[in-house]
Amino acid sequence: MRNIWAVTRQTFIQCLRTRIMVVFCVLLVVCVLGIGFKMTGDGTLKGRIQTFLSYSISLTQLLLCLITIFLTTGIITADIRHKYVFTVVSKPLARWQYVLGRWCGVVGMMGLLLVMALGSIYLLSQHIRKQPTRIERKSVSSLMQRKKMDPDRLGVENEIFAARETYLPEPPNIEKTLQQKIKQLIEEKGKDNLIRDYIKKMVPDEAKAEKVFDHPKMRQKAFREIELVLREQITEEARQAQTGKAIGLTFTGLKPASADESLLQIRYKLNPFKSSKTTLAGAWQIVNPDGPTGPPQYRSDSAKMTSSFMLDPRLVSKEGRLTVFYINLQPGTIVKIQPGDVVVLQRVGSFESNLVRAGLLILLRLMFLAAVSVLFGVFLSFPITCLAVMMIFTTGMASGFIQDATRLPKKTEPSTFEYFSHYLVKGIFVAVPTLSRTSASDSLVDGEYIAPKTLLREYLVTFKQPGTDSGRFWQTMGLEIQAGIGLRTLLTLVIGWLIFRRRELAGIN
Amino acid sequence: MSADKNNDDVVRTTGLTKVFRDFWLREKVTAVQSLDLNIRSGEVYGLLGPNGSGKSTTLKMILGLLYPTRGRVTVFGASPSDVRTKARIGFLPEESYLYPFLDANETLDYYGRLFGQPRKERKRRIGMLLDMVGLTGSAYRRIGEYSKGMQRRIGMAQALINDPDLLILDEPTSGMDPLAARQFKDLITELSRRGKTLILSSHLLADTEDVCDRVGILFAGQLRTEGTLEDLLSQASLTQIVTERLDDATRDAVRRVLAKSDTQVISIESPKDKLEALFLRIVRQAQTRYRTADSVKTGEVAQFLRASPEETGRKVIEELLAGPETVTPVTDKPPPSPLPSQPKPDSGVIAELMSEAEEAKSPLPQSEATRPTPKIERRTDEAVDRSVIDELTHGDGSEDR
Repeated sequence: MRNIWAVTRQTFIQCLRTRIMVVFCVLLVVCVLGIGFKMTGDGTLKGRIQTFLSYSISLTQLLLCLITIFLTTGIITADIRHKYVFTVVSKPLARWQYVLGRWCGVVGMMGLLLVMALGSIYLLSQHIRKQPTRIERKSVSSLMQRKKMDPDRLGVENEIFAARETYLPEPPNIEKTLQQKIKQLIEEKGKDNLIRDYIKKMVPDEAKAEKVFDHPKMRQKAFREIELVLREQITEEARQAQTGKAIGLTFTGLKPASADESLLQIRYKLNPFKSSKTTLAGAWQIVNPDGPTGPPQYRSDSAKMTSSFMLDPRLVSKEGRLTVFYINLQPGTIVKIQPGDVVVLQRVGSFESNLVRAGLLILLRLMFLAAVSVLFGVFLSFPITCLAVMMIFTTGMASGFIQDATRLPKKTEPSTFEYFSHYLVKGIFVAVPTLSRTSASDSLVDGEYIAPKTLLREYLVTFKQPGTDSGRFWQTMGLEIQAGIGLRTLLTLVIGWLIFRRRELAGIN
Repeated sequence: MSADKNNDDVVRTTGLTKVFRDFWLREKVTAVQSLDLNIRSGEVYGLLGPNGSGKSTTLKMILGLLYPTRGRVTVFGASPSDVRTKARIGFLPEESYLYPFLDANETLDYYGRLFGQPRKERKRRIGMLLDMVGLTGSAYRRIGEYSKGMQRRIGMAQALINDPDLLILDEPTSGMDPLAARQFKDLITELSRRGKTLILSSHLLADTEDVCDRVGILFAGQLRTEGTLEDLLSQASLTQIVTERLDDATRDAVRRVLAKSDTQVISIESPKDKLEALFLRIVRQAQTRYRTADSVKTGEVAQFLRASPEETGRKVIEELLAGPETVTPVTDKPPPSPLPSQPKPDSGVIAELMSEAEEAKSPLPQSEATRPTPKIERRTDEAVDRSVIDELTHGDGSEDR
């Protein structure tokens, strides 16, 4: 342990005295200050703070990632190239201690820089927060009154300087409708005819279709498929509202209302179905399953744009349930709500604690990049290592896009190239983590709560149902286990050590 | 601490071979070939050879920086990569491979930490080592700003931070001025007195000759010869008689006497001082005149490295500073004489020589200036037949491996 600390300490000093570090730090300070004082966003105070947070945190993350790559690579490759490592590994220092010490030193330095950068961002954001909004500037006499009503100020306080948990609605309960529909179809056609028709649709060759139908197992399979198709149809229908009709959504797991609970917000996006309408009129009715019903909110919103409004927190039941109805009032237009289009946001923590967790998320990426730099640095030269790590970094950041682009088409038969690229990308993402999965800056800008379980998932592992995401580490017992970035960092370091352990540090002079 | 009780060999290599390969694993060069070495506890072993002979490669395998292609190497009976083994080794590489952004103090502190030394002990040793290598005044200057000689000195200090049982020195005096080189050699002698084992790789023969008990000569990766200096350098066919200055008449008388016994006189001449000795004398005189800053203590062996506290280390330095005499290293062991196994002179010839010399003695007294120094050089270049070594160590100019 003392040896690791000695190497860590020395790495820390080395980082402080490296020119590249000074250059990046100056760049970071200039950029953060520039963004803080020069950017105005959309002209509102909320927009200014959101722009500042978004740009400054993204920039901090990017610059720190770059410093980590260049610094770690530089330190490790210089040790080997300039043979500094001769005098170090000839001392009673195991090679794993050297690798770990170097990694810890860089990560420690990056941690310190991150704290300083986020601290500066926090102080600057507080400074901007104290600036008057447009309405506050207009009249000083009724400042207090206006502060309460000013939507810009409310937005700043309730949507940015807060940590809000996001709740998704329960999937619509369609079982009863589904059973009724199946019953009705069987009554109309008879079960065998229903199945035969379905098979004929799927298999155009009549002789073959009859053969399939004769097979009892195939008949069962076909009936299950009919059920699935019906289920999809009914679910789709449940997400649509014709004029004058309503869509009901139930949210569970919310915190029951209490005196200090001042924030509950609904955020939504409405999609006109087969219509080019740009504005949609509608009403929202919020219901406490145990108690009062709130007054309806009549609104006219832009189609496909995100809108929001505040809710009375007392509408949440003691069991943490809340029911929301959207009533379509737009004549001649069907409104569709996709999963995730309507969410309820509830304050569960402070901006400061969220900022700390955002910092931990950024630090995790830096830890991973430092480990990858160590891994390549122990056997490759500086430029090659930088190139390799940069490729991994960009691949990890663009993982969502890459995976979407190489997904196998559902409607047509995939070509050989599509198969090849799909499985190649799948293979790559076994090793490369999805670095863009949880964005620290997005969470802070929208005041979204970064839950401890999110951190745990990013650091260690995720257990979930198979097939919901790619990049899985291994799959077993019908449960997909996806290794978190932290676990991959550890594995990367172990591989780096194994290579370094067998590496001959001297060659022919 | 010395080598393990059951095994007196501190370093043992058996059939040690190192083949460097290219990217496609094709054999590029065989740097060391079937090397069998047994370096015993407490000896100063010199590994000689021209550039590219495989000295550094051998040392790097002993240190675990390279892995043997074939054969085996053990240090203190264990693998060189064993952390416990490495705790007993000090290593000075052929060049300064120290972090240029650290100062001398930080450098020694870092290496001291790697040996798990407590803070107080580390501070004590750092102070003494910096004094010893004469860098106390430059302790807070970054190593990148040091001259090559200063870098070698701090390199030596880092190699000694753990008071090692085995000290491996790769070209220790390269880039050093003669004064620092002399101090280095004194230090080696002092460490040898303490029972430390030293391996010295060099192609500077004078350095090795002054301090080594045993040498091995490598060429093209193979050990060509090995043995004590006594065995390798003695010239049994020649006799050297050293007297006070003889005038021409006495010389003639000596020639006549020797001619009578059919002995061929190869040369009769006044011995010359070594340039190194002259340089050291002049610099030391200047130093005593300008006792400033670090130069006062420079060269004094750190207390924790001395055989017995204070006395022996100081004795070495005092002798060094004493004046025109060339230095005889202080050692418990009988010093390897330059002509160690000269045959005993024939007493009859000597008696005759003496009587003739008396007769031919000039009445003129010798002046102080022409009087030879009372002590003579322990080894003189004229006395040593270097043909064997020169032939073997004649380099082809290629880089050292």
